[in-house]
Amino acid sequence: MEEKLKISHRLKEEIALVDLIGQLDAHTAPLLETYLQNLISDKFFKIIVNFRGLDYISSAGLGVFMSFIEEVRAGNGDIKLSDMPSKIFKIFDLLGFPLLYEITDKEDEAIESFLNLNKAKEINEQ
Amino acid sequence: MNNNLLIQNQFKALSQFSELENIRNFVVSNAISAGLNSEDAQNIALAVDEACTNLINYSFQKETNREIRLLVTSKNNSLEIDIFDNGPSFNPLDLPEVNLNNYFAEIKKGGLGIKIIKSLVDEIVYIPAGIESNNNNLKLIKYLTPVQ
Repeated sequence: MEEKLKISHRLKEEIALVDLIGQLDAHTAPLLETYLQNLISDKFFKIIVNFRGLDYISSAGLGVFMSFIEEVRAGNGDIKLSDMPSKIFKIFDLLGFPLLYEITDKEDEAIESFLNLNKAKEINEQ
Repeated sequence: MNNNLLIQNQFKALSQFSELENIRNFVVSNAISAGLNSEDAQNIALAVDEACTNLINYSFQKETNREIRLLVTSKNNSLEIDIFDNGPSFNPLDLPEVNLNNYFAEIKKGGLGIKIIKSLVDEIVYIPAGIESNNNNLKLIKYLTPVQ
C-alpha cells in the first residue's frame, strides 16, 4: 500500500507543504488521513497539499480534505490545494470544491496567500 | 447497424479496498479495447471504483471476504459494466444528492460517490436481487458516440 501513495512534507515557516505521489482512493485515503491528523496534532493548521505527483483520486480521497477543514479553519489555518493535473482538478470541480477550497495553479501562490494573511493580521494587531 | 454483442469480459474481486486498483485496471483496459479514449476510459473506471467503494462500505459493511463480480460488455455503440454482488440490496440512486449548502455535514453520507457516477456515465440501472438473479446488479452504461 505504501507504494500506491507516497506522502511527505516540507516546512516553510509555519506552513506544511504536503506532497502526494501515486493514487488516492478508499484503500490509500486512511494513510493521508493519519498523516494530516498528525500534522494537525503538531499544531500545523496551515497546510498546502501539492497534487503534482498524483495520478488518481476518488471521492474517498476528496473526503479526507473535508474531514479536517473545519478543524484547521478553527485554528486560524486552512487547507489549500495546488498543482493539480487537469484530470484531478476536473473531479474536484465536478463536486464543487472550488467554492470551498482555495485551489492554486502553483504552490507559491498558496504560500503567498498564507503569508499575506499573516501580514494583514499583524497590521490589524498594531 | 445492429446491437449485437461484441466482447464480454468478467472479473471477480474480493470486497476489499485493496482490490480497487485491479478493478480500475480491468475497466480501463476493456474500455480502451472497446474504443473509448483514455480519458473516457479512466472516467468510467472512476465510476466503477465509486460504485464498488459504496458496496464495500454500505452493503458489505466492510466485510472483506465477499465477492464483487464485474462484467464488461462491449456493444457496437455502448460499453456496459455490470457490477454484481450478493449483499443486502442497496440502490445507490436512493442516496440523497449532496446539497452544496450543507456540504461538510453531508460528505459523511456517501453522496459524493453517486454524484461522480451520475456525472461520468450516460445511464445507471439498478436491479435488486430476486428479480433477474440472486445477485444485485448495478449497470453503468457509457455510449461510444455522445448522446444528445
